[in-house]
Amino acid sequence: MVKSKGLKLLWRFTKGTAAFYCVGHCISKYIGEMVICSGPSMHPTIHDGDLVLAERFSIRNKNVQVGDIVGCVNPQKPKELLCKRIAAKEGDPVTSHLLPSGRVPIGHVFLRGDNGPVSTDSRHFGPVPEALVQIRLSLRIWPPERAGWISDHWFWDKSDRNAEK
Amino acid sequence: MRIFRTLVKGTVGTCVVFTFFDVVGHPAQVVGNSMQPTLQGGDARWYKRDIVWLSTWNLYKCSPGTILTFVSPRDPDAVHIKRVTAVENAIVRPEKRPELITDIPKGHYWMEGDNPEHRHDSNVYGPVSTSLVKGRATHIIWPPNRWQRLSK
Repeated sequence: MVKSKGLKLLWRFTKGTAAFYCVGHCISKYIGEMVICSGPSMHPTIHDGDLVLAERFSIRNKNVQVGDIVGCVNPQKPKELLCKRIAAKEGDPVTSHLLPSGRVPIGHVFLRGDNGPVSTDSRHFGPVPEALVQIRLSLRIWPPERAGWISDHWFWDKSDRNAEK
Repeated sequence: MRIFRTLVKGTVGTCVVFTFFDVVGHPAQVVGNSMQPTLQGGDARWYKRDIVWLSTWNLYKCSPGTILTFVSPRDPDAVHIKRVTAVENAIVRPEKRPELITDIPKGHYWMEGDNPEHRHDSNVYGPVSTSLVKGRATHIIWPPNRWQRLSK
């Protein structure tokens, strides 16, 4: 048993830090997190340096729809998260020189940035596997004058709004 | 107040277990015989199939020969276990379609099963992005008589 008072304090501190780290890891891994977007590729919608709340429920719920803004791991750099809009899902027609068949392959999504001329997206690296889509951006919280929703459906709302159009 | 404390302790305990599985590694069962004879997963009885320990460290710079698990590029729900046979910048010829010479792009692996008879691997769906890799098989931990370290 630990007897000394200093050791006891150190042990409590270590336990507290570990618990804090674990709870934080689980929240960011299974619920959602805050992301700071950088780069010009989504410009009219998301500016460089915006702070956005992102959630993971819709990915888990298989409710990623065309038009959603998502965070996706760069297929070439596993530590880098790209922020793009889903332009097409599997089977949808797409014109790209990387897709001779003209359709998005099974299990893949086609990503595009809103700022077409400067964005590096699926037009350059091809469609990405759906498993690389990690989070869905939903609420901008900073800067306050542009704070607000950037998604138009809840994670449980599976009604396909693109079918009506 | 007591029940509140128990709830908090239970939640934190669950988080600790999940974090350990995510950050250090976790066991997983092999299903399917694409890695025969290295890993036995073809039996219908669960206790006859191998359980491997998957480490989540050093996933992105693996050399050929490493056994990795990754999410299938075609099916986000399926996790495959295969062996790296070539890494980025290598040139491979898929068996059955050798005319499709592939230059493996940056940040991708060529993954093949050990069983040439029965496998569904990069020969079918092409190079696999390292971002899809989930774990590295280090040990067979079940059954006990086959306990061994898997070559790195």
